Amino acid sequence: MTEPWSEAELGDLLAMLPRPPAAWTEAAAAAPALEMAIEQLRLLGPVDAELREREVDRLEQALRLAGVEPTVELRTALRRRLDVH
Amino acid sequence: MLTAAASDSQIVAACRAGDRDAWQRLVERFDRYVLGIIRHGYRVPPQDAEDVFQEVFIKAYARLGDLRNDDAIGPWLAGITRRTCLTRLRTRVDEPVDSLDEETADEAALEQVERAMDVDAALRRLPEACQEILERFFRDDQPYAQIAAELGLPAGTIASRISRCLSKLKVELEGRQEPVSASGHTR
Repeated sequence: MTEPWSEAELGDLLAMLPRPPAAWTEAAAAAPALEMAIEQLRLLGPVDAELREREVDRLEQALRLAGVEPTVELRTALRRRLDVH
Repeated sequence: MLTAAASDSQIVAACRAGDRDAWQRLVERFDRYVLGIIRHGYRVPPQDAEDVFQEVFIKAYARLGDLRNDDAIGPWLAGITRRTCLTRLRTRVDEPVDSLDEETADEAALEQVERAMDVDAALRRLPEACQEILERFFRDDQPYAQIAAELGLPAGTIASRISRCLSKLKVELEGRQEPVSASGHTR
C-alpha cells in the first residue's frame, strides 16, 4: 500500500530535480561523438609541441570529423576526456 | 524512430544499435536523476558536480554492453552514479579516505530522489500544456505573471491551472496499479 500524494509533496518533488545546465546535458549527449573524436585524434597522429599550439584546431577538426559542431562546451568535454585517457 | 513515449528498454536498444538520437534521449531522460543523486544523495561539492555528472554518462556509454536487462537502465545508472560519487569524494584532500563508504550516502534523500523520478515519469504522461505550466512554476520558479505573459494566458487563471494540473498528476500517480519508478524500482 503506497501513501497518497499530497499536492504540497508533489510540488516539492517536482522542484527537487531541476534540469541540469543545458551545457552539461549537451556534453553528456555528445558522448558517442566524443568517442569518435578521440579516435580521430588518434588517427591524426601524436601530439608534439607544435601541434599542441594548434590544439584548438585539432579538437575542432576531430569533432567535425565525428559529425558534430565544435561548440565551446564540446571542446571542453573532449579536452576533459583526453585528460583521463 | 523513437516516440516521446518510448520505454527505457526501447531507448537502450536503439542506443546499442548506434542511434545517436537515442543516446541523447537517454541522457535527457535520466539527467535530472543522475544530478539528483549527485546533489542530494552524496552532496558532492558544486565544483565537482559537473565532472561527476559527465563521468557517469561517459562510463555508461562505454559500458552499455554490460547492461543485462535493458529495463534496468535506471538502477544501473544509479549504481554507476553512486560509485562515481564515492570515488570523487575519496579524492578530495579534505576528506579522510577511510571515512567514506556506502554509508556516506543520505539514504533518505536518495529515496526522495526515487520518488521525484516517479513524479517526473508521471509528469511526462500528462498533456503538454500541464507539463509546461508545472515545469515553469515548480522547476523554473517563474512567477504567475511571467507564466501568463509567456504562455499567453490570463494571469488570474494560472493558480487554478496549476492546481488542476497537480490533480491530474496525482491521478496519474495513484491510478497506476503497480507503481514503478522511472528508475525501474517498484514502490
